[in-house]
Amino acid sequence: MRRVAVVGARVEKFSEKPADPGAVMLEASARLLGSCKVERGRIGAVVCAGGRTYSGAILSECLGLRPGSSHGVESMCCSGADALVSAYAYVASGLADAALVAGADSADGPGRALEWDASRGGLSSPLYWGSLMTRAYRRYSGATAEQIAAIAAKAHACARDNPAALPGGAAGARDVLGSRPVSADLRLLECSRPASGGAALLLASEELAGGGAALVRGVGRATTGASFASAGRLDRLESAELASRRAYEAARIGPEEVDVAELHDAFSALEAMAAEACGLAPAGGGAASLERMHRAGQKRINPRGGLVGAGHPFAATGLAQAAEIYFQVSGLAGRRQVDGARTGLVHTMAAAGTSSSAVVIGR
Amino acid sequence: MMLRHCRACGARWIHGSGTCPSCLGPGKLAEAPRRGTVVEWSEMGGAVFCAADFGGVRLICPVSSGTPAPGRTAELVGDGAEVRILPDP
Repeated sequence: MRRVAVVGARVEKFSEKPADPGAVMLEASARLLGSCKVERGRIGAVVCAGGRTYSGAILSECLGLRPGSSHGVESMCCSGADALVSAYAYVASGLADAALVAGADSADGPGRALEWDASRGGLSSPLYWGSLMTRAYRRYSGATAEQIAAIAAKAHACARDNPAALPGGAAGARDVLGSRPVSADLRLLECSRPASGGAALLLASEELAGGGAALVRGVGRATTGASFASAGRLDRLESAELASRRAYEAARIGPEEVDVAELHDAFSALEAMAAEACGLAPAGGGAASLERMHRAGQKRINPRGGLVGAGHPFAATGLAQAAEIYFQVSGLAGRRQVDGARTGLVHTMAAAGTSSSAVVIGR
Repeated sequence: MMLRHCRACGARWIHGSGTCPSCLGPGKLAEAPRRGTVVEWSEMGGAVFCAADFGGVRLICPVSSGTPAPGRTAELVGDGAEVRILPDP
């Protein structure tokens, strides 16, 4: 396996207005390629998340690329991260010297609910499983409503330093607690917001990228099923545990070496669950740990505001997360920069945590 | 409420495949157990709903009556689209 570098990344500003995912993907990719020194002829694979049918070939033609491989990847909210994993595999295996991976979605795009899943009955909105998992996690961990609200407040505070985030006002824990109840267990400001947006990354062999580039040091993937019936315990994220463990093993690191992480907070309690699953907080102590982080103004987890603060353009989310970790370990994160960040983790999950992707990026 | 049931290994599943996900043998449609166990519950817009386990198949169901809590018994009512929560014995 060849070592794989991240040559560059680009995130387009998220918006609440509907957008054409193909156009957003093209914009992100064109700007990215315009800023990178890799010759376009060396790009041997183009992998897309979101957009229309045959999106990989369409994007290739629009960019004047003639890659050996071009295709789309669809796995609900994991689509972007899984497209990144595919692009990584092309370069690591030697099938391509460089690979472009791009993703975009529209705020009004389809695909938020898994209609195939009969175990959800007529209650197919993610708000139902989000409510059940939030209550189960609080029951298991003893986390208070104030602690969950502090996690959301951390997200909204971090998003203010993210120029690509959806617009949003200041939201402290009191604002979160006072926001409209969506269910008995979720308040509006604890929920991720659908968004239009896109992101792109260019990967290349370390040899082609040159010395000093950030590397994809390990990837891990886990699927425990697809339906809510197969989602395992509601108070933990088994797929995140498995995926992160596999990524750490591939990178030959432990979670204690992670300086900065992007965790999939579809709902604020899930950030605590993901922190525990990925070994970044003790079992049952995720909410307390993140609350302390918020009070101390630390940005080690979800520095761009997560899905709750920045927005959630489904197919692009995993790539926006990966771009952030690339920016962080490259010292390019501006006001969001975590001091001394050298190793970062990306965690993305789909459909009530039935699958997760984890990627370690570092120097 | 109809589930799929494997006569060879006893597994139950809800998705439409006729192949048992456990042993890959043939499955046939069978009535779900009428009673299951509440795993968790919540409420949205005044409507209570729960996750309950019916013979190894976990479903999200609206609650038509009763007070849900983990471990309590949920009973399918009507065509199985809803459950009622039975009082503790």
